[in-house]
Amino acid sequence: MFDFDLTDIYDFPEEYGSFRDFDNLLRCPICKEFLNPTLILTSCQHYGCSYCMRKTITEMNICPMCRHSADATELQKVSLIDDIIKIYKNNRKIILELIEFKKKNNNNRINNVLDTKQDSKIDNHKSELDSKDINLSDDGDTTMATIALSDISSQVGTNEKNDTFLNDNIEQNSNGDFNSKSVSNNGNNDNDNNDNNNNNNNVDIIDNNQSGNSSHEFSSIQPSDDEFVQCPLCLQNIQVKRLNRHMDLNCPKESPLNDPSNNSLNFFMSSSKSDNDSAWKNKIFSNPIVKPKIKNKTQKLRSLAYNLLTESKLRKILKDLKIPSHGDKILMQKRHAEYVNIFNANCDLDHPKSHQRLVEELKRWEKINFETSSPFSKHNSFPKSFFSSRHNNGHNISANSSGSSQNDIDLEEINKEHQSYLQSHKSDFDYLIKQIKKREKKKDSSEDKETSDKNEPEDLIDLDIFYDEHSHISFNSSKEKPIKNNKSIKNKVVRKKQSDSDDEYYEGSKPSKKARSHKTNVKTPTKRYNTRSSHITLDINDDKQNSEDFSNMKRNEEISNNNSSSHNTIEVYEVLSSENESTEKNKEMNYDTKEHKNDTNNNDNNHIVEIKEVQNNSIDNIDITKKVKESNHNNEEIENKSVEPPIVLSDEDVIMGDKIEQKE
Amino acid sequence: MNTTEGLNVTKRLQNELMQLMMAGIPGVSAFPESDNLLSWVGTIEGAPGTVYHGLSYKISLKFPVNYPYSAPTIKFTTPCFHPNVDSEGNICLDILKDKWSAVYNVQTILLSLQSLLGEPNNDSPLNTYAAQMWDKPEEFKKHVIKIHNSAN
Repeated sequence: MFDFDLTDIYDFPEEYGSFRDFDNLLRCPICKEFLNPTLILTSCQHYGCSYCMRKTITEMNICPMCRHSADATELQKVSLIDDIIKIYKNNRKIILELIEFKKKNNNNRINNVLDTKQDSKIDNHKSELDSKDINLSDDGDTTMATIALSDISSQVGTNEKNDTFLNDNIEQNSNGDFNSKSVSNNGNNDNDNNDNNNNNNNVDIIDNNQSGNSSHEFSSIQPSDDEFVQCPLCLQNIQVKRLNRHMDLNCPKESPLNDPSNNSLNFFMSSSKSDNDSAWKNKIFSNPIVKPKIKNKTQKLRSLAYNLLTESKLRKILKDLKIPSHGDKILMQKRHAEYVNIFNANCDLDHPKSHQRLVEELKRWEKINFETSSPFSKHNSFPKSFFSSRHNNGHNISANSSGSSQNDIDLEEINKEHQSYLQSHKSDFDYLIKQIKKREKKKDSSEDKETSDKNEPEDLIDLDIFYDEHSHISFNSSKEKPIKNNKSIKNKVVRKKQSDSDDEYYEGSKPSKKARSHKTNVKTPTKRYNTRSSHITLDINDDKQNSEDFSNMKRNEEISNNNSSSHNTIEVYEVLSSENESTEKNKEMNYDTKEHKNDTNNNDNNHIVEIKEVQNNSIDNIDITKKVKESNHNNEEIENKSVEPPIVLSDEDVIMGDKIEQKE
Repeated sequence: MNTTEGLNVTKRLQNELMQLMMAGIPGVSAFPESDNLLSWVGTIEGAPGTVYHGLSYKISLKFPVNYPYSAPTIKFTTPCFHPNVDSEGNICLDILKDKWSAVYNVQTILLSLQSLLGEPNNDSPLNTYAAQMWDKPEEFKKHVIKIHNSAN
């Protein structure tokens, strides 16, 4: 089901940045996959996948890259790019292996140079021998070529070394391209070999690179003139020197007599593989890609002027296309537009899918996008009104769970898909998590600070989040995630509760207040956000446990009411509001005083409190008991500090700077 | 196009996540909020030389199911005093609205937001008070810090 591989440009190490660029160029800017198939906009020369480009253009009528107005008729296929991508995709792994290979090679070379220096025999580093122990296991997706290689700088004189290192042991287990063989070499052969050993009928071939040549592992991929390669057009085996002529003559049938070594083709095929390098080459050249293209004769569909069509006419069109024709006109319209996209993109493919599959894809698309029960559609409405929609979702959930069973099945299905997706990509997530943790460690070691903003992402990356079987996927609307679920992220719980209580708060509060909160543009955020923070505090702690603390706070608040900051007032007010509805009026009053103060309270007192807060912020605000203590402490501090002379802004900056350092 | 659109969005987001992690751009970060890949939380740090320097802002990113063909919904969850950010945290940024393009991604959004912090568009403010105050950096900064810290 999830048949995509997660390759990306960062597979290439940083020092090979040009490969990253190259890789990036062959990827669709929209879906980030390799272009399949490539379409180019003739007007602006921007390109993308067929489906992605068509989709963007039908939805927005612009080029996704430059926002130039564009039309689907301007799209043109570029099969050259497709061919390049095919070759590249098939050989990407090899390139990565070679990069790995070269890296190790370099490392070993340095090591060996050191070794040989110890031997103090060597004054000439030009001649280098590659002793390779290649173990390629090419089974399926999990291919990881482990290439162990020792590359020694050697001198003809150091025979002892040669005897041990010149054993080329090539062991390849692969899906057919490689034959398993072992090539051995009995030293002292340095000078016997030249590149013409392809004509050698001996299957045991010495893999000795010529001196001065070995630093370029790729160089021998260039076939020598006498070597045979497959003609990319007709797949015959042709000598390299004859290849151009052969192709110019439109691939006439080559007679086997032309083979100078009189080897049968079959034998040649096997012997050519015996050389490690020609095995690479074979893999590259024998790609059955560049075959002549069969022109796709399927006519592309054109989009319709839906406004001019009646519902029955449109239905008939859908029926003629053999795609589902239920639903109202708008649904049919969207379905048709999507089908045109899928169909036309399919036409661009070299191996188009069957109509059946397209219809399946269409149905799936529709299910995800339009069904009312779809968690996604709900998700779409989510952003519009953050709090209310959350609240509504709560209601919908109960409605759904008692609702139609079909919806439940769909949800289960989607659920399952997501589960299996998570399972199948566990390793990817693990990898990411590892990466981040590594980075975190680096940072931690450089600066020994425990609480920083950057640590927070780490909290989020708890493995349990992804793989907890008991936790429900958050858009599984049939079952609300129990808040007491320990494994869910703190953050989430906090947010959920917070939104709930916000709703509660708004419902409880009077409409006039609501209206005012909208009017007062600048003050509103202060109030609102404080609401949140106070709720968070409440949520995380057991209410009863802390009721003492809160009452304490309240008392403090009353005492310091006159000179404390507006901030604390707000906090206490909010705490109360969530604690007990009956004290609503009380709070309202508090609120008024606070607002009033907020207006007038532009004195330095305020600043002090802020600074204090800034310092407090560096401590995790989720830790409740601390928080409460702090706020108590705060009040005292405020009382003390209020006597102090005003603090200038520059001081504040200094303190801010301290805090920043702490954070980082 | 080997999968349907609903899966394309996860695939694309997966890819973006990978790229974002590997790119390691200083000052911005984002990660899926939970097991739902359509909902992320991000952090933006104010760029040096701006009044937001040293402050970090949390944002929430909600991706529609037809992402990237329509823009994600981005909100500040940390209160932000900014001409183009309203009291709810909604952001007025053209590339998140009508100027959205399918080639934009989380990384570009985060970077755009970071630069929006330093260079607000005062012609179409959501927070007129902030827009008026923008010319007085000292006062503006005071407000920024005050509101930023009011969350904690």
